[in-house]
Amino acid sequence: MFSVKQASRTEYPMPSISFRKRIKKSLPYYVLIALPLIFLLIFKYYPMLGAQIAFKDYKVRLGIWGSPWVGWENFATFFQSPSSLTIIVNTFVLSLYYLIASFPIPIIMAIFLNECRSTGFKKFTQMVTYMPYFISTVVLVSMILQFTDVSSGIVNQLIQAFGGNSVNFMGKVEYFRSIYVWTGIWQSTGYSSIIYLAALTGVPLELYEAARVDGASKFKRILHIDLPHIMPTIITLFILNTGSILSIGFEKIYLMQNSINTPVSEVISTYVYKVGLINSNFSFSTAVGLFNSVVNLVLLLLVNSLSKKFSDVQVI
Amino acid sequence: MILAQANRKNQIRQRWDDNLFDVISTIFLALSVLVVAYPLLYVVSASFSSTNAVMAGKVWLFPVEPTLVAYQAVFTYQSIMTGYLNSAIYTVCGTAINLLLTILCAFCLSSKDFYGRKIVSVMVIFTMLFNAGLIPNYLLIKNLGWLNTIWSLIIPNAMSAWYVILMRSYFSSSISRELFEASSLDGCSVYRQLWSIVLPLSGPIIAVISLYCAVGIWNSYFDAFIYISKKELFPLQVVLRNILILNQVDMTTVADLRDMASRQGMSNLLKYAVIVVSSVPLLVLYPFVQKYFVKGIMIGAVKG
Amino acid sequence: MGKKMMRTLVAMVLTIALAMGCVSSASAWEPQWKHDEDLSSYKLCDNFGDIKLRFAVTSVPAIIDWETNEYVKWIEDVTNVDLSFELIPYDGRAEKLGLLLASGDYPDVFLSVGMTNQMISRYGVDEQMFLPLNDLINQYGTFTKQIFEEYPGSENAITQLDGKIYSLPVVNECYHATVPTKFWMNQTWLDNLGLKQPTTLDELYNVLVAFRDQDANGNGDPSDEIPLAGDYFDGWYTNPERFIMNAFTYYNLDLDKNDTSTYEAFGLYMNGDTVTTPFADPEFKKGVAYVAKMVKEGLIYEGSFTQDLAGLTQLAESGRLGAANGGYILFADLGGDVYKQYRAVMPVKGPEGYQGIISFPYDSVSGNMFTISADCKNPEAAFKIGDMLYSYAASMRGYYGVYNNAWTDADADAVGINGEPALYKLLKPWQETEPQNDCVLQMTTSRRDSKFRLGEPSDPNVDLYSAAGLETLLYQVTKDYKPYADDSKALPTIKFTEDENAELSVLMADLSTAIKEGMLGFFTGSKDVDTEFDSWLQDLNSKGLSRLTEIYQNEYNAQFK
Repeated sequence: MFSVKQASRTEYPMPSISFRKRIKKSLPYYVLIALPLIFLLIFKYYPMLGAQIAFKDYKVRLGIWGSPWVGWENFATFFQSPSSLTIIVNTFVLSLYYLIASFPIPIIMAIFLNECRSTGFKKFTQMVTYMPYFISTVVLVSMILQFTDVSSGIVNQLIQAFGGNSVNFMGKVEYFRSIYVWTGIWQSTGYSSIIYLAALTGVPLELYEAARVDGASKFKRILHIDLPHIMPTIITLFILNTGSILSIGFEKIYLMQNSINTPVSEVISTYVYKVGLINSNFSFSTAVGLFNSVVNLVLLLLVNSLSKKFSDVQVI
Repeated sequence: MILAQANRKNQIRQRWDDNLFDVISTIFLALSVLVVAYPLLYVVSASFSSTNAVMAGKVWLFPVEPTLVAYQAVFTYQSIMTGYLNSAIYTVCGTAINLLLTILCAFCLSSKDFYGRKIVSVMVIFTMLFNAGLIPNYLLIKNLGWLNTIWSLIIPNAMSAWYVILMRSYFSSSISRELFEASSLDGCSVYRQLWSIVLPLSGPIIAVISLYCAVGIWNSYFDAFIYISKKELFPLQVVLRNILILNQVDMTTVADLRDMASRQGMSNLLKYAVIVVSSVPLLVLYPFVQKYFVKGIMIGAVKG
Repeated sequence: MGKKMMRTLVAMVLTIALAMGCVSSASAWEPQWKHDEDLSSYKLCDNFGDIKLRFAVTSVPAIIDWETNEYVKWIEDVTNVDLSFELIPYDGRAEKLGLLLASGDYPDVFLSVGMTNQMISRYGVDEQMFLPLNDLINQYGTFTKQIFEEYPGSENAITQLDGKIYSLPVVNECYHATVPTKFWMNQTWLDNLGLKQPTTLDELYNVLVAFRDQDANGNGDPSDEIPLAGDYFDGWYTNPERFIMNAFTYYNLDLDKNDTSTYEAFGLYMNGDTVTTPFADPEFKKGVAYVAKMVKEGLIYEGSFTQDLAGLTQLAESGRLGAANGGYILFADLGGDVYKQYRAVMPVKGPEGYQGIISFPYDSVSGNMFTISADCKNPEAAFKIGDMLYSYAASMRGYYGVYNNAWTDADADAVGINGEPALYKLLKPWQETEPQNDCVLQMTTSRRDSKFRLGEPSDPNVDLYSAAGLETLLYQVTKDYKPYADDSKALPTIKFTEDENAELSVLMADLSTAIKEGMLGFFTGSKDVDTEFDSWLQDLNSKGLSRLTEIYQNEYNAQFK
């Protein structure tokens, strides 16, 4: 574990100022924050009042406020389903797998890119790895299906060329998660490395010089200068990502799902979609969404407090 | 003299482990390029191949029976230029508004002098986790009279908690406090600090957030789908999806089978062409942003 | 000229102009071709624009602009009503419509927007947001009543549980779609190997083994043939086990991954007056074991379980496919060399002598195509337009386009697809790809009954296996299959209350997944039929299979007994 050097400024003890003076000092900030705050209130918080339909039986004629309360009924519908536990576990596992596997790679890529001596190669690599992000999910999945096809897919043809037997990847439950995660990493690594690249640009060049004079190798330099400098970014991003752990995207899983891999591929969003196919019950989907949010919140707070303890980075 | 000699010595002797590092780094990056390049090439090649070749699975690396038929279908479609124009407008406006709100918010949240900072912080994060859901948002936009207007596309997502947190983190860690101390001793107002200190030093983060934001808006489909029904206002993604649908075969509406069969091939081809068409502007944009990701670009400003 | 004369002249000119204006707006629409009905009673107001109606319609790229569409202009001509439109994009139509309805945002009429039965049940019956049409039909529904007479049971099918009708259906008799699970086999391969089309399950087995082991396609390689394949994503009745299972018992189970809410996803069918599922039938279990054996022996392509229709088509086009199920021969190149090799095979007899194919006799009059909002200010006018759309005059213009431009009277000696005299002649082929503005294709209600669909001229000598011959081919093949189909087993349209829908939505989501997982598990061998079938059945019951059947049975009893 790296020692997280204070890349940020040292803490100044807060001199005791009177309440009045504090407000006065903050005045310009109040002016600046006004616009964002108004935005939040109108476009985020006001609609949140509408989330009450999770506890209601929403009727259009009666509107959000006039519809009757049903308490926890919508939640009960979700939890009483015999598959709800499996679904929640699937969502967690898939999300965690993705989070842990995908996290280090963009960082490594950013560091390597940063150290690249040839600007041409650096720019070229950045550009190429950035591109897969723009492939739509539909095409990505269709390529996955095509490449893993048991008789004509290129992956199996390679396997056969090396003397192995063809495998029906999408037809085996055990491969689903890995295919999902690694194709996702393939698609988004280049794009996600950009933020780390940006963070790396902030390292003062003098530190490099000093390190070189001290005879430090590149590797040591990265370990003791680069990484600590971007550690706040890394940790912040990690915390933010745990805050969306249950909100795993719908489209890609839905497209990759087939009736063989549903034991692991049925997640909350695909399940809610299927229920809603028959009877688009907005109360139900709002209830499930609320459940997701609460769990995400708990996890975020957890990771945040851990981070507060062991590093100096915190999101809240 | 001795110093010069020592420097030269350091320059001449490249460390062996640095070399090793460079080799590993180059291998990693080159592999990344290869792994990424093949499927990308496939997409481009498929888009330039004939429908029969794609249907029969004959395309592997290079276009088979090259034709421009898919691109013809896309570009002769009336609304494509409107789509490009609209998307460009929404992206530029949306990114600008986003940047404005994000910078203001992040700046305030990064300053210890802001009394009430914690509360606002929590408020911002909360919105990242809790979303009202489709109906309340739709009703709000409807009641504001913003259906079928540009506002429904650029305002509701005008500030994202993610970007605010990221920017705040950048401000806190990359802009040293001494600058603020010194400047306020010099009588610099908070506004001036924002304008003359924070902004010039934030090139990279502003570049990144702008890029992520622009890509997000450019690629977005859902908001336009919900709020816009007037053709003249469709962004590119909606137009492209329409083109795909034109050529899709919906088995539930078995109408004329001859027509359906001829469309099936086209639709396979189009989905690749559509990716190329839609992502080219963003790819062209990237080099402009890339120049901000150069080591040490922000150095020198500190001395000032 | 004197002042007086001037004034008289002006007055004359004005009078003439006014008279001409009156004449043009007062002229009723005249029938034009042999089948045009007299629609003079559908002129709804004296001056154009006296009545204005707003329609919600589906926007598809193939329709350039509803406001200026020729079909719409024709309707406005006949009725004198000024129509305006609210567009719902086709992609994601269901979500957008649901949103529109749930936010209380609606125009006078919903025309062909994909309104589901559940939406009618919730927003019509439950929330009374739609206008009940019973009285209007009785008073003004000339064409509607004709349809009720011609299709017995149709009035009942569209009446909701509260006895009211909230929407008008479309009449779309696609004859060949009544028997969509056809079975196609490569005749050239059979000829190459000196085999005949199978008539029993054993013969089918042997043929498939021959396909697998010998060089059936004559390219020198005996191992590249795939005997039987299908897909479980988006094909039209292409699940590969259908033909085989139907040699054991009545099997209408749809294992496509996206079908999680139709009765076919649960295999529901009528046994006399009882709604039942096939899972507990011992013959069903035998069938599943048989299919599993075939998969294991490589007779059914294992890629079928993971590929989509594009993958299946690719297989077919590459000349390696022996046989497949499907509503039509699934090729991209209709009339191409590979396409021409396939022939339909009649249902084979199973070990117990069972032989059958499933059919769907009830789908001709269905859908919720024309719904009027309860707040509409001109319900009579709105309804009359809906009724008028059932005329052949409207149907032809809505679907094909302008008279004498897209279609015209039939030639005197022309013969239709069904062998009867042709009713009309198409001047240009129907298509849904190029944007056009002469008609609205499928986005309206209409009466396209089989008399009319099959009245399309067809060259009696057309090569059945060319692209042009497809409709004729399907018509004839469907006729061939008809004797094997037992219409009495098909489920009629059953309606449910709002509460039942809520319960069903959850039941169905769970059950459909369990059924598909199990069936595919058995087929692919990851679950063993002998040891795990019974526990799977129990699992289905614990997930609510009997409750599902019970709900259906209750409503069936209430509505049909």
